[in-house]
Amino acid sequence: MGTFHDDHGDLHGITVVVETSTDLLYVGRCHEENDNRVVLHDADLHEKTPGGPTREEYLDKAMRFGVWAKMPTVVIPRPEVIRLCRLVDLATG
Amino acid sequence: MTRAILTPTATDRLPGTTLGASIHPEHRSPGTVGRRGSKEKTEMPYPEEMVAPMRRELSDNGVSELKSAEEVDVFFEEQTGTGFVIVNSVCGCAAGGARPGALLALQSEVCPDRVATVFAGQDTEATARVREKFGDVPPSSPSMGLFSGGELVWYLPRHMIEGRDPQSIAFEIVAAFEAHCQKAEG
Repeated sequence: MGTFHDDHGDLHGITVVVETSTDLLYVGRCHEENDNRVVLHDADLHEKTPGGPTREEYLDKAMRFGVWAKMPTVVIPRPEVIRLCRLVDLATG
Repeated sequence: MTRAILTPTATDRLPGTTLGASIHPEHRSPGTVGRRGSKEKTEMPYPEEMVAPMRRELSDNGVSELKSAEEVDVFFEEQTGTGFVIVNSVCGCAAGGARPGALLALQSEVCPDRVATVFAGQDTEATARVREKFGDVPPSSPSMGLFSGGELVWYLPRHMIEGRDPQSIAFEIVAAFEAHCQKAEG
Protein backbone atom coordinates (compact mmCIF):
# COMPACT_ATOMS: atom_id res chain seq x y z
CA MET A 1 0.00 0.00 0.00
CA GLY A 2 1.21 3.50 -0.58
CA THR A 3 4.13 4.67 -2.64
CA PHE A 4 5.75 1.96 -4.75
CA HIS A 5 9.48 2.34 -4.35
CA ASP A 6 10.78 -0.17 -6.93
CA ASP A 7 14.48 0.64 -7.33
CA HIS A 8 14.28 4.39 -7.11
CA GLY A 9 16.59 4.75 -4.11
CA ASP A 10 16.30 5.72 -0.47
CA LEU A 11 14.89 9.16 -1.16
CA HIS A 12 12.03 7.96 -3.33
CA GLY A 13 8.77 9.44 -2.07
CA ILE A 14 10.56 11.71 0.40
CA THR A 15 10.29 15.50 0.33
CA VAL A 16 13.73 16.85 -0.45
CA VAL A 17 15.56 20.12 -0.96
CA VAL A 18 17.67 20.44 -4.09
CA GLU A 19 20.12 23.31 -3.94
CA THR A 20 21.63 24.14 -7.33
CA SER A 21 24.57 26.13 -8.59
CA THR A 22 22.08 28.40 -10.36
CA ASP A 23 19.71 30.88 -8.72
CA LEU A 24 17.16 28.11 -8.28
CA LEU A 25 16.41 25.92 -5.29
CA TYR A 26 13.75 23.24 -5.44
CA VAL A 27 11.61 21.51 -2.83
CA GLY A 28 9.59 18.50 -3.90
CA ARG A 29 8.98 14.79 -3.57
CA CYS A 30 11.94 12.84 -4.90
CA HIS A 31 11.09 10.40 -7.67
CA GLU A 32 14.52 9.54 -8.94
CA GLU A 33 18.13 10.56 -8.47
CA ASN A 34 21.13 9.34 -10.41
CA ASP A 35 24.34 10.64 -11.97
CA ASN A 36 22.40 12.43 -14.68
CA ARG A 37 19.41 14.00 -13.03
CA VAL A 38 17.18 14.47 -10.05
CA VAL A 39 13.47 14.11 -10.71
CA LEU A 40 10.96 15.68 -8.33
CA HIS A 41 7.19 15.50 -8.24
CA ASP A 42 4.85 18.13 -6.81
CA ALA A 43 7.68 20.61 -6.57
CA ASP A 44 8.06 24.26 -5.79
CA LEU A 45 11.06 26.44 -6.44
CA HIS A 46 12.74 29.48 -5.01
CA GLU A 47 14.56 31.85 -7.28
CA LYS A 48 16.93 34.47 -5.99
CA THR A 49 15.44 37.83 -6.89
CA PRO A 50 16.28 41.31 -5.66
CA GLY A 51 13.98 42.20 -2.80
CA GLY A 52 12.44 38.73 -2.69
CA PRO A 53 12.67 36.24 0.14
CA THR A 54 16.09 34.74 0.69
CA ARG A 55 16.72 31.01 0.41
CA GLU A 56 16.84 30.86 4.19
CA GLU A 57 13.49 32.61 4.55
CA TYR A 58 11.93 30.38 1.90
CA LEU A 59 13.29 27.22 3.51
CA ASP A 60 12.19 28.31 6.97
CA LYS A 61 8.60 28.57 5.76
CA ALA A 62 8.88 25.32 3.80
CA MET A 63 10.13 23.49 6.88
CA ARG A 64 7.20 24.68 8.98
CA PHE A 65 4.36 24.31 6.50
CA GLY A 66 5.56 22.47 3.40
CA VAL A 67 5.33 23.85 -0.13
CA TRP A 68 2.69 24.37 -2.77
CA ALA A 69 2.93 21.79 -5.55
CA LYS A 70 3.40 24.19 -8.43
CA MET A 71 5.11 21.75 -10.81
CA PRO A 72 3.89 18.16 -11.31
CA THR A 73 7.39 17.12 -12.35
CA VAL A 74 10.73 18.84 -12.52
CA VAL A 75 13.93 17.31 -13.92
CA ILE A 76 17.11 18.89 -12.59
CA PRO A 77 20.45 18.19 -14.32
CA ARG A 78 22.68 16.48 -11.76
CA PRO A 79 25.78 18.57 -12.51
CA GLU A 80 23.89 21.60 -11.26
CA VAL A 81 23.02 19.99 -7.93
CA ILE A 82 25.25 21.09 -5.08
CA ARG A 83 23.10 19.71 -2.25
CA LEU A 84 20.32 17.14 -2.05
CA CYS A 85 18.85 16.44 1.36
CA ARG A 86 15.61 15.62 3.10
CA LEU A 87 13.58 18.66 4.13
CA VAL A 88 12.94 17.06 7.51
CA ASP A 89 16.68 16.92 8.14
CA LEU A 90 16.88 20.68 7.78
CA ALA A 91 13.89 21.11 10.06
CA THR A 92 15.19 18.84 12.80
CA GLY A 93 18.81 19.92 12.53
CA MET B 1 22.82 28.02 -17.40
CA THR B 2 20.82 24.91 -18.12
CA ARG B 3 17.27 25.24 -16.88
CA ALA B 4 15.57 22.31 -15.34
CA ILE B 5 12.93 20.68 -17.46
CA LEU B 6 9.40 21.31 -16.27
CA THR B 7 6.94 18.78 -17.56
CA PRO B 8 3.18 19.11 -17.65
CA THR B 9 2.42 15.70 -16.23
CA ALA B 10 4.21 13.23 -14.07
CA THR B 11 4.37 10.58 -16.75
CA ASP B 12 5.49 12.67 -19.71
CA ARG B 13 9.22 12.54 -20.51
CA LEU B 14 9.88 9.81 -18.00
CA PRO B 15 10.57 6.72 -20.08
CA GLY B 16 9.85 3.54 -18.23
CA THR B 17 7.61 5.16 -15.69
CA THR B 18 4.57 3.04 -15.09
CA LEU B 19 1.36 4.93 -14.60
CA GLY B 20 0.47 4.92 -10.94
CA ALA B 21 3.71 3.33 -9.83
CA SER B 22 5.51 6.49 -8.92
CA ILE B 23 2.86 8.93 -7.96
CA HIS B 24 1.67 9.65 -4.44
CA PRO B 25 -1.58 7.75 -3.99
CA GLU B 26 -3.61 10.84 -3.31
CA HIS B 27 -2.53 12.34 -6.59
CA ARG B 28 -2.84 9.22 -8.72
CA SER B 29 -5.65 7.17 -7.30
CA PRO B 30 -6.89 4.09 -9.15
CA GLY B 31 -9.83 6.00 -10.51
CA THR B 32 -7.86 8.91 -11.90
CA VAL B 33 -8.85 9.52 -15.47
CA GLY B 34 -7.95 12.15 -17.99
CA ARG B 35 -6.20 12.72 -21.27
CA ARG B 36 -2.44 12.38 -21.29
CA GLY B 37 -1.08 15.83 -20.71
CA SER B 38 -4.43 17.19 -19.64
CA LYS B 39 -4.78 18.98 -16.35
CA GLU B 40 -8.41 17.92 -16.22
CA LYS B 41 -8.72 14.89 -14.04
CA THR B 42 -11.52 13.29 -12.17
CA GLU B 43 -10.33 11.91 -8.87
CA MET B 44 -12.19 8.87 -7.65
CA PRO B 45 -11.71 7.45 -4.20
CA TYR B 46 -10.21 4.09 -3.40
CA PRO B 47 -12.66 1.27 -2.68
CA GLU B 48 -14.08 1.75 0.78
CA GLU B 49 -13.27 -1.81 1.84
CA MET B 50 -9.62 -1.05 1.19
CA VAL B 51 -9.45 2.06 3.34
CA ALA B 52 -11.82 0.91 6.10
CA PRO B 53 -9.02 -0.58 8.24
CA MET B 54 -7.07 2.67 7.89
CA ARG B 55 -10.09 4.58 9.14
CA ARG B 56 -10.71 2.16 12.00
CA GLU B 57 -7.14 2.41 13.26
CA LEU B 58 -8.06 5.93 14.40
CA SER B 59 -11.81 5.71 14.93
CA ASP B 60 -11.51 2.60 17.11
CA ASN B 61 -9.22 4.60 19.35
CA GLY B 62 -11.46 7.52 20.14
CA VAL B 63 -10.79 9.74 17.14
CA SER B 64 -13.97 11.16 15.60
CA GLU B 65 -14.28 10.74 11.86
CA LEU B 66 -15.50 13.77 9.94
CA LYS B 67 -16.86 12.71 6.57
CA SER B 68 -18.62 15.84 5.36
CA ALA B 69 -18.10 19.58 5.37
CA GLU B 70 -21.04 19.88 7.75
CA GLU B 71 -19.39 17.54 10.24
CA VAL B 72 -16.20 19.59 10.02
CA ASP B 73 -18.18 22.77 10.66
CA VAL B 74 -19.81 21.20 13.71
CA PHE B 75 -16.39 20.15 15.04
CA PHE B 76 -15.11 23.71 14.67
CA GLU B 77 -18.25 25.34 16.10
CA GLU B 78 -16.83 24.70 19.55
CA GLN B 79 -14.25 27.45 19.78
CA THR B 80 -13.22 27.00 23.39
CA GLY B 81 -10.36 24.75 24.36
CA THR B 82 -8.24 22.81 21.89
CA GLY B 83 -8.94 20.59 18.90
CA PHE B 84 -6.57 18.22 17.13
CA VAL B 85 -7.23 17.19 13.51
CA ILE B 86 -5.44 14.36 11.74
CA VAL B 87 -5.50 14.33 7.94
CA ASN B 88 -5.32 10.60 7.24
CA SER B 89 -4.26 9.09 3.92
CA VAL B 90 -3.59 5.77 2.19
CA CYS B 91 0.13 6.34 1.84
CA GLY B 92 2.80 4.40 3.64
CA CYS B 93 3.86 7.27 5.88
CA ALA B 94 0.34 7.44 7.28
CA ALA B 95 0.46 3.74 8.13
CA GLY B 96 4.02 3.71 9.38
CA GLY B 97 4.21 7.09 11.06
CA ALA B 98 1.18 9.34 11.21
CA ARG B 99 -1.49 7.04 12.63
CA PRO B 100 0.65 5.17 15.18
CA GLY B 101 2.44 8.39 16.12
CA ALA B 102 -0.82 10.23 16.72
CA LEU B 103 -2.27 7.37 18.73
CA LEU B 104 0.86 7.19 20.84
CA ALA B 105 0.69 10.93 21.49
CA LEU B 106 -2.97 10.69 22.47
CA GLN B 107 -1.93 8.51 25.41
CA SER B 108 -0.17 11.54 26.83
CA GLU B 109 -1.28 13.07 30.13
CA VAL B 110 -1.88 16.33 28.31
CA CYS B 111 -4.26 16.01 25.39
CA PRO B 112 -6.53 18.27 23.35
CA ASP B 113 -10.20 18.60 24.25
CA ARG B 114 -11.40 17.26 20.92
CA VAL B 115 -9.77 14.95 18.38
CA ALA B 116 -10.97 14.28 14.85
CA THR B 117 -9.79 12.97 11.52
CA VAL B 118 -10.57 13.41 7.86
CA PHE B 119 -9.46 11.06 5.10
CA ALA B 120 -7.69 12.81 2.21
CA GLY B 121 -8.53 11.43 -1.21
CA GLN B 122 -11.63 9.73 0.20
CA ASP B 123 -13.72 12.28 2.06
CA THR B 124 -12.74 15.10 -0.23
CA GLU B 125 -15.38 17.60 0.90
CA ALA B 126 -14.49 17.20 4.55
CA THR B 127 -10.77 17.37 3.78
CA ALA B 128 -11.21 20.53 1.75
CA ARG B 129 -13.11 22.16 4.60
CA VAL B 130 -10.40 21.23 7.11
CA ARG B 131 -7.78 22.66 4.77
CA GLU B 132 -9.74 25.91 4.74
CA LYS B 133 -9.35 25.93 8.51
CA PHE B 134 -5.62 25.41 8.10
CA GLY B 135 -5.51 28.74 6.29
CA ASP B 136 -2.59 29.54 4.02
CA VAL B 137 -0.93 26.18 4.50
CA PRO B 138 -0.13 24.03 1.45
CA PRO B 139 -2.26 20.86 1.28
CA SER B 140 -0.41 17.90 2.67
CA SER B 141 -1.38 14.40 3.65
CA PRO B 142 -0.89 12.89 6.03
CA SER B 143 -0.68 15.95 8.21
CA MET B 144 -1.95 17.18 11.56
CA GLY B 145 -3.08 20.47 13.05
CA LEU B 146 -3.72 21.66 16.58
CA PHE B 147 -6.26 24.42 17.11
CA SER B 148 -6.73 26.58 20.17
CA GLY B 149 -9.70 28.91 20.38
CA GLY B 150 -10.42 28.05 16.77
CA GLU B 151 -6.97 29.19 15.59
CA LEU B 152 -4.31 26.93 14.14
CA VAL B 153 -1.44 27.01 16.64
CA TRP B 154 0.66 24.08 15.44
CA TYR B 155 0.96 22.11 12.23
CA LEU B 156 2.82 18.97 11.23
CA PRO B 157 3.16 18.63 7.45
CA ARG B 158 3.79 15.41 5.57
CA HIS B 159 7.53 15.97 5.22
CA MET B 160 7.85 15.90 9.02
CA ILE B 161 6.23 12.45 8.99
CA GLU B 162 7.94 10.81 6.01
CA GLY B 163 10.41 8.13 6.98
CA ARG B 164 10.22 8.90 10.70
CA ASP B 165 9.32 6.42 13.40
CA PRO B 166 6.07 6.80 15.38
CA GLN B 167 7.94 7.65 18.58
CA SER B 168 9.68 10.65 17.00
CA ILE B 169 6.40 11.88 15.57
CA ALA B 170 4.61 11.35 18.88
CA PHE B 171 7.35 13.29 20.65
CA GLU B 172 6.66 16.33 18.47
CA ILE B 173 2.90 16.03 18.89
CA VAL B 174 3.15 15.71 22.66
CA ALA B 175 5.39 18.79 22.77
CA ALA B 176 2.64 20.69 20.96
CA PHE B 177 -0.01 19.32 23.35
CA GLU B 178 2.07 20.40 26.33
CA ALA B 179 2.56 23.86 24.85
CA HIS B 180 -1.08 24.49 24.01
CA CYS B 181 -3.36 22.10 25.92
CA GLN B 182 -4.31 21.85 29.55
CA LYS B 183 -3.81 18.75 31.62
CA ALA B 184 -7.11 17.02 32.34
CA GLU B 185 -8.24 17.34 35.97
CA GLY B 186 -8.48 14.26 38.10
